[in-house]
Amino acid sequence: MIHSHLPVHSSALVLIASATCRRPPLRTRVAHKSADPKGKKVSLLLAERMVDKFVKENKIEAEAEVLTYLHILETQEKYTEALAVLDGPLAKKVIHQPQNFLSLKRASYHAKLCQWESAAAVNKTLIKEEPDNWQHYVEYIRTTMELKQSVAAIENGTEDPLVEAASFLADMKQKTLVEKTKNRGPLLGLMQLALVLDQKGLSQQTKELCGDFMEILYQYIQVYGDKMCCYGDIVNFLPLVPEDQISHFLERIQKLVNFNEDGVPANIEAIHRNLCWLQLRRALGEQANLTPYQHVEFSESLVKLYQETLHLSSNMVDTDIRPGDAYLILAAHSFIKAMQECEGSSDDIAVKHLVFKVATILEHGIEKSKANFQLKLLLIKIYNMLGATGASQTVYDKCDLKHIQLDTLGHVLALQALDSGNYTVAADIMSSTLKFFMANYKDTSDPLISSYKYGSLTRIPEFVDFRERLNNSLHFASVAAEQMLLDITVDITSHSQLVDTVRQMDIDPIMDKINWKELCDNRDLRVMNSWEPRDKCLQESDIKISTAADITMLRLRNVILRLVGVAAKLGHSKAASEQASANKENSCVNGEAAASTDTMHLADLTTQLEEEYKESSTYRNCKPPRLPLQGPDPSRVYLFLSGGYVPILVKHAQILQHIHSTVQGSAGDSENSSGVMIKECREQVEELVTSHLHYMEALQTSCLEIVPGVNPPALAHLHHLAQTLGIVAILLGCCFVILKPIKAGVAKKNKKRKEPVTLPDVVPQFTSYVGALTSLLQKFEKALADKYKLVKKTTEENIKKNYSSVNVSSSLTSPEEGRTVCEKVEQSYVKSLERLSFSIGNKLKYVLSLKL
Amino acid sequence: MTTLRPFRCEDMFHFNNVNLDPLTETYGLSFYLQYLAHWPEYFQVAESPSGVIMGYIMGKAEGHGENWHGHVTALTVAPEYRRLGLAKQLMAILEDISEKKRCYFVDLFVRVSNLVAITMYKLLGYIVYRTVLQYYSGDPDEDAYDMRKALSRDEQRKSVIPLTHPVRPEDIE
Repeated sequence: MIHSHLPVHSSALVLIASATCRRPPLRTRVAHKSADPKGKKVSLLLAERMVDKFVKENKIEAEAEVLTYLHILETQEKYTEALAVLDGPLAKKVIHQPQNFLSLKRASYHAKLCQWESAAAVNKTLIKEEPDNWQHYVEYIRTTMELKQSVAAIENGTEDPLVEAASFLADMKQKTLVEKTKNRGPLLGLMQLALVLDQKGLSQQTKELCGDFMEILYQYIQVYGDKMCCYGDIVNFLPLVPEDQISHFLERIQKLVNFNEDGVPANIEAIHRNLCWLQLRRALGEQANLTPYQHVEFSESLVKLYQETLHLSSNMVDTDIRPGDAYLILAAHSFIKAMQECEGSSDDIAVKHLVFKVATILEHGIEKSKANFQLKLLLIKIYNMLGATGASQTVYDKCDLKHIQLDTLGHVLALQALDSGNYTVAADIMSSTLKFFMANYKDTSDPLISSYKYGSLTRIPEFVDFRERLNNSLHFASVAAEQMLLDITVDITSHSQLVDTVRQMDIDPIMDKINWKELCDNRDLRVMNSWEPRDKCLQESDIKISTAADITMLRLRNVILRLVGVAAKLGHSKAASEQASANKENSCVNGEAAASTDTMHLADLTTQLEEEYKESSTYRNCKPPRLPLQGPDPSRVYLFLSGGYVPILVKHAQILQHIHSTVQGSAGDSENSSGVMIKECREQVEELVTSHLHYMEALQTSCLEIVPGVNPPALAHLHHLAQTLGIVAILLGCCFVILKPIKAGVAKKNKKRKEPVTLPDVVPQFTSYVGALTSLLQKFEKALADKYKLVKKTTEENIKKNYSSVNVSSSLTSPEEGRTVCEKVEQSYVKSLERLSFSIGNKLKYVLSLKL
Repeated sequence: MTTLRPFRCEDMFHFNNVNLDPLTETYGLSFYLQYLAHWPEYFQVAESPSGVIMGYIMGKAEGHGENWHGHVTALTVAPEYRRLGLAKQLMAILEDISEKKRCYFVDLFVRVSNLVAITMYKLLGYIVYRTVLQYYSGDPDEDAYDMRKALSRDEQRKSVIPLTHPVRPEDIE
């Protein structure tokens, strides 16, 4: 612990002030942009002066104090001063850090000061001391290249530092080969140099400096090809393989595999070598032109290899993954490719059964290799492709995702479950996700205090950044919005229930709580294995496009949610104003003022929703881009925007606005505009519901007929329809609250007067619309309930018949395993349809309660 | 070939390929952050050339008098990077820091069923100091071995004289 009596704590406080000034706490986040960089500069300068004073007075004793001093200097980019600290007596106080700590600091300071020669020298020494620490090679080569370029610029004719570096790296490599150590770094050093030369446009020097690149690569595989990590070690260097040498190179690699007389890898090392060869074949583009048939054939050969080599890992413990698991992953990738390429023409290969076959194979693999998360993530993807998120959940549970993984890997299932109508699964995942995020602020606060207490002050800005990155998670904001929309659209059966629920949610219609500029995409999209050629792998640009699409979806959902928030308030404030009117004059005035402000916000949010819809036109009526398998599932916005949901919501919000203004007397119902609007709404909703009957029919619920990619959009459309109708019901509920007193008032007056007072046109128009909507909902609910019952019955029959008509077994899996998969998938649809049917039933109840 | 460097908060966004392993526990944020705040030098990560997290070690120094020791809280290596000596390298860092902190020994707890890990620790010079009954909760609870390795300060190697009887979790200091 840092000595508490020392005044250096004062400088620490200044440092903390500077860090927190950079990223203010949540409650003041709004003022984030105004964080004062000048203030930070002054704070740091002050901290430096204070520490300088302590140094002069010999008051610096603890290691933590020296580290704080270095941090202050680094933050101010005072690297010369920082180097002086390393050269002075204070460096001796740094005694509890890893061996290389001071050298790494020294190298980085030299590099920051563009003192390339010194930086390269330190890195070279570090390589000698720690020959397997890769960062030293990267930095050594980088700084040497900088040195070369600076020297070349200044004086031509100086000895080429690259020649010296190449010679040193070659010596390191040779030494490692002779001594047969386990160090992989020295064998890769020259390849890194070749890569950097290539990146700098100096590839013509590679041969002269590094020798034959292909030979170095081959040598590496020769030594380490029997390790599971081999492909990962060399993947960065594969772009350097000349196209015309690929086949010869692959032939050589294949010859390294020790096959038995049956052509099967003879031992575990041979499995790894064989896999390395297969992975390289794929990465170097040798399988790019396979036909779907060939893909299937190839996949089957891999499954066979898996099966024939499984006995070699029979002694392995459960905690280890099986060496041959990658055969299954490669096979699944190829099977999926075959399915994707046959999309739309499933006659060529049995696509329908193929997807079940792949799922069964992966289930089998997971059973044999319980620790292999790659198989699990892949299987979740496959079940998601079928819209069978209930089945996905069984695998998701095996991943045991928790805490920060709910953010980084939340993209694998949470919102897919929601969109497939599997609300129970979605609510479970979303609830644990939100709990994690809610606890974030508290969980990260105590360590901040600990950092101060224990002197690890340099961690403070890091902790603050980390907290904010979580706080601004795009997934957090999306799940929070979806959870609220789910809560108000599934179980709600009456307007009073809605008002209570919305009140508890504390939706702020006026103030948008999302910090759009700081939203962070925290998805871990590199976790799944891929051996595709570099240009076919997930690119940063793919991720950017997907993030932008998700943000667009969030923008729309956020406005819809706030619109519901203000609408519920509007009905409520109107009711409150009526209530207040009965009680007290003044309160009436306040109530009306609130109602008027709410009307204004409703108008603003309606316009905002219209604008967001207009701005999102690029996502409308087009298919989401197909991303590589390890990428995220397609963004939801494409489908949401192609369903016509938003314009309907806008229209209903406009009706509410119009009715409210008419009743308030601030606008007349000129030319019966409410009548026109209601008519339009009615037509649009009728069209929407009718079109969605088609999606219901399109659902493929028997595993005999399921084709990947058909059910997810069909279910998602039904889910969005249910939610849209839910929000329509809410908005009509708000109209109802406004119109009810009018009708009651007229009825009351009619009792007293001889000449009847006529109701405003909007009342019968509203009543008529609610009646029509009721019939429509009844029709849809019946269709959905019938579908649910039918699917349930068929599934039960299939289970009873043990799926005798389905054959999805393979040479690896048993018919029983195939049947289990079929049952899982079909049961998932039963659940989805049950929840969707229940949800629509509740809308019906809601609308039935709106009789004026 | 590994980059060994201090663990950063940011690594938590990318450590899934290590933490998705069923035997690697993913803790709440405060757990990691407290270690980073209190014992940052003891929290080291191994990164591959392509930036993949291969494994990490987290530990601490605690105890009084002759019980002042380094403790391995978590040591984990992603499946594809096992059997490359990575755990050994990470343990070496922790032992080195513990030496510098003048600790008497380094200890760790391991499931009695985790034979792979126990064998590895034995190869690194650790002995089973004692058995801690029902240390790991689960169905059923599982015993742990408390394994130790003496450091140079413990000249008489008193810290590694095994106990003859098992202890209960509440008896651990």
